[in-house]
Amino acid sequence: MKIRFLGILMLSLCYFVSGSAQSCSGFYKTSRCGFKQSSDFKQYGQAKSAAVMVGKEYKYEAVLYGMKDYIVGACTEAGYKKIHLKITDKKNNEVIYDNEEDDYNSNVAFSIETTTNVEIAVEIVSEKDESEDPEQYRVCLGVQILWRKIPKMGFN
Amino acid sequence: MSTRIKMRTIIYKILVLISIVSLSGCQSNTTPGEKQQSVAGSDSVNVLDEVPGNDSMDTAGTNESSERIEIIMLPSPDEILNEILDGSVKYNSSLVNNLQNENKYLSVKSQALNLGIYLTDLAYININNDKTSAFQYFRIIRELSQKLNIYQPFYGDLFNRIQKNIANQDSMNSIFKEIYYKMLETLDNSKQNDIHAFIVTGALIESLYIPSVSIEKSSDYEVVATKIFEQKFIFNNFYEHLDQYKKEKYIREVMLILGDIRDILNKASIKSNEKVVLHKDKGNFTISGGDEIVVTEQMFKTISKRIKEIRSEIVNSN
Repeated sequence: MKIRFLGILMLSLCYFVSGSAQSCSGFYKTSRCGFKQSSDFKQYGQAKSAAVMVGKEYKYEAVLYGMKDYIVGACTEAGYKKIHLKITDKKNNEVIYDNEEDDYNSNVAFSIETTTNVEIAVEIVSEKDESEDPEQYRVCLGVQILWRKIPKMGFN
Repeated sequence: MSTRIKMRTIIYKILVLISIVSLSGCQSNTTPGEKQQSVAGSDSVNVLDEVPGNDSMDTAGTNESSERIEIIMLPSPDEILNEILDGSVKYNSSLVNNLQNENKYLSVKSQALNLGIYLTDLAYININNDKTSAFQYFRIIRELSQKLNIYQPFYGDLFNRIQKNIANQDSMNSIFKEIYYKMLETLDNSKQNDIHAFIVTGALIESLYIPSVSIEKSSDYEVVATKIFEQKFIFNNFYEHLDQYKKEKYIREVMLILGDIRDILNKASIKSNEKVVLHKDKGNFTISGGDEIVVTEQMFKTISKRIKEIRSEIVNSN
């Protein structure tokens, strides 16, 4: 009886632990990820939400078509203020943008003239002591790219 | 005493109930009633436990033990077609794969490849606001998806939404994207890499086929042809992404198809212009210059021919 009781108790604990585990489904749609944008920007490709580990770098590969305006943004949960966002041209590893030099601004707007293959590196910078159990610092990360055609200048 | 026993019994029953729920909610990412199937395992279809679906991309399939984790972000077929065609090419409804062909796709491989083809066809139809065909292609995509046991994108009132929004092109494009990415997510979550790869490959081939056939008799082909060759980045990225799964036989087959086209696309010459970054402020800038792709008529003919051959093999397969 006792063994059966303990077994059931263990399974129940497993349930509560897994139930309380991080669900990041659709995190990029939450108000935490409200990137500043004007209405004519559309989402490009698949926005990604993921449960990630703090202090680990995640790299996203994307092709940015030329003659477009882009907003690239990353977001995470409250309490994790700093997201390191770095965009690199894959052809020559030239850094296009690094928010370390921009007060860890979590989104960036830019225009590109020619199609460019980029790598977007995102890391949630830890502000806590992770030495004991890094697994507990698994949090939600949202990454998305918005785009629009470069509006024509001048009079028609 | 009897109250203690009663209490124990109640607690015991509650714990049993919780345990049953926890066991039934375990690790599969397959949706209710959904079977997991892959080309590699097509002889034995596994029926997995039921769990709620998940629309997030989790880190499954990536190597968490390494310090850097790589994730690919591919544009959807409508984004590729819009980029290549850019409203400059006349709609030709005869270019899409015939609906009647769907019945002859019997193997998982041909079903998945042609599902990719039909998805791009639907994107093309939506871009050109062909409402009658759109509804038919949504149906055929649902049928093929169900044959591949991909149900999740079609749960809920999807077809009511399509009927309600059929006149609204933006809504139809948005529904299309929702289906496309939900489909790929479902396959990612259930680790069906081969089916995922076949669908994306079919979609990519059709994304090049429609524009190349549309302009092959046009003297003004250069802009579209250049855009076709610019898709080399997408082919390269997807090919490299698949490399991690190349132990799987069917992934190697897909890589052969993609590699063939990729090699031709990579042959285009490049005119490099100096890149200049003009900052408005730190988080707002413009990059001008960069690489321009130069396409000759012969190169365009070569890629068109090869795409037509591969596409014909796919749509006529069974």
